[in-house]
Amino acid sequence: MRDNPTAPFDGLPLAGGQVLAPAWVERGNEPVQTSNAGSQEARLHAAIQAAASILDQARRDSGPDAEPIVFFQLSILKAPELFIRASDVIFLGGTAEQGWSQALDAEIAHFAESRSSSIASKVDDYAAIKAIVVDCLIDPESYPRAAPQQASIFIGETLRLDMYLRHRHWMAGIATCRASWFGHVAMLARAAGIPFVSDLPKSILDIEHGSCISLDGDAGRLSVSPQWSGGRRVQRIPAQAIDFIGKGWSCSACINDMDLGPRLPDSITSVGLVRTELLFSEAGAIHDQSAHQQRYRRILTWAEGRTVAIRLLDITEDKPLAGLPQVRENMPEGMAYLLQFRRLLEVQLRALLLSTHAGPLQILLPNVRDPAEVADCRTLVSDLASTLGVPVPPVGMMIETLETARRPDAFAADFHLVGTNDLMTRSIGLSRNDSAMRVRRSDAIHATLLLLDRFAMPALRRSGLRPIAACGELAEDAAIRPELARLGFEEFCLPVEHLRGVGQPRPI
Amino acid sequence: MRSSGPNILAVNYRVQLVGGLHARPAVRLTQVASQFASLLTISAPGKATADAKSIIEVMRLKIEENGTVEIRAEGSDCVEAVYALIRCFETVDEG
Repeated sequence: MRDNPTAPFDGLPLAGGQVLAPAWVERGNEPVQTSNAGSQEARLHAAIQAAASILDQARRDSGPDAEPIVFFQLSILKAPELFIRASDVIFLGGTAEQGWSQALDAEIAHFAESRSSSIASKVDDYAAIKAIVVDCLIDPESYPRAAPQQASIFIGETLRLDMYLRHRHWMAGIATCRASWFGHVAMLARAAGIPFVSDLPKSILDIEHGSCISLDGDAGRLSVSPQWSGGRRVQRIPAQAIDFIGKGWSCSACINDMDLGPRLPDSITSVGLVRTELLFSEAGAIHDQSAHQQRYRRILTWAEGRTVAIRLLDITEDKPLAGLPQVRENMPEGMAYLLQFRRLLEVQLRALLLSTHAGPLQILLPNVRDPAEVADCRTLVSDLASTLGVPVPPVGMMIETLETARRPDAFAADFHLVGTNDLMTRSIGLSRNDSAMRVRRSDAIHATLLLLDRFAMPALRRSGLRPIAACGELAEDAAIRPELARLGFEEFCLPVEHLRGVGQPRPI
Repeated sequence: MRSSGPNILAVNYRVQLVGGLHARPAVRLTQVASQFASLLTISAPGKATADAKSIIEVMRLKIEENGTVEIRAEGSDCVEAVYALIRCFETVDEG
């Protein structure tokens, strides 16, 4: 027992970020049960098959970061050498569990003695392969083990890759006694932005289930939150404390193509951006109102009642669209382009207005530079809605030009979305296609943050329009999101596959 | 590079993969090796020789960054096989 139960635990930071969430403590595996019934070799073979199915499913469910790692584990799992070695143990009277454990222990011992920490980290892979088969030998039906019903911080001696992949949807943070910077779980946690601290003392296993934990993945520190100190059990934590990765902000989805995939996680309550210019691959379809309508209805139906902000076609120099005149230097782009090609604008607006019955939609204006552009478009939306006999949806605008970033309150929009991609390039006077962007990215990031901090954010806060949201490269960068949150951003609009990849914890 | 006969080729190669031969390049290496008819082995100084088509044996070599290995092929497609394996070592990949 520790002298001071509220003193923080210090460990090794493996993945950055801070999180406040209840603890979910795994206090070791169930005891291995042995059985002599039936053919041990057949049992082992069946368990390996079951484990392979579980890993294969995890491979299909996992994002691109995890896929090759799971594939590696599958390759090891199916390696005939391991089965042959386990069979030798069984032949000498051992059980399937003993055979498999001994086969894997030999490999683990081989790597554990390595001086190279990257090679020694392979111990985790082999231990995971050992454990998943043993789990399947005990009772394949019981896999996976019970999981918490809310976003939580995993606390355990170690965390196996297969367990991470199966349970990551609720993991707001990870705290273990043993792990490696080079380990695959640490690698995936970093990619997903999940705070991870390891090398913590074994006394963390004494923390009560449900205790409120703050985990600092940057400092490598785990604390029982002072708010709930004194051993008090925490039943609930306010929903706003645990959202995307437990940092006090929420996320909406961004749609970039018609490959919508499975339904959205329950915790994503809106679709913040549909980039319509990316939905049309055939040259003729963009002029066809029914083709527009068919796409918007499908997205609205898929969104299952969530509000969907559909952005008008954003035609710019770097985004030419088949079937439309290409934007050249000094030509209007974005909203000004659409107002110039008014027939195209009307086709899209009519299709949007006629799709409103499929779900709540909002119209988002791209690349606005002049308040008159917003006013003109709003008038057109109202006139068309009146003609079609449908309600006028909210009309918002992207903040992605210097004009809108400097004084967003001069534009009569119902809502805003800060587009960081264009804002970054414009903040240092370059275009997206400019090769200098690669070397001047740091300048662009800081110029954008300064621009937002000095001009856009104070005006957006004054506007009272909520949430203050951002999309694009900076919003998608887990290292920069905290900085944006400090500036006052409340929502980040991320690609659908990104939201699934990070395993959105469910709000309580 | 030395050739011990018409169907045998052996190459000494210095591994420059950052952090050594990790999971992903190891899997890729065994997959590529399995595409060839030649008997393919990899050996490192002071360690056992590994069948390049076996992930278990390749991983056991614990090949570290800047370590030297001998890639050896015996068979009709030995030249193609050796060069294909060298390409696997040259592909930078984490994990």
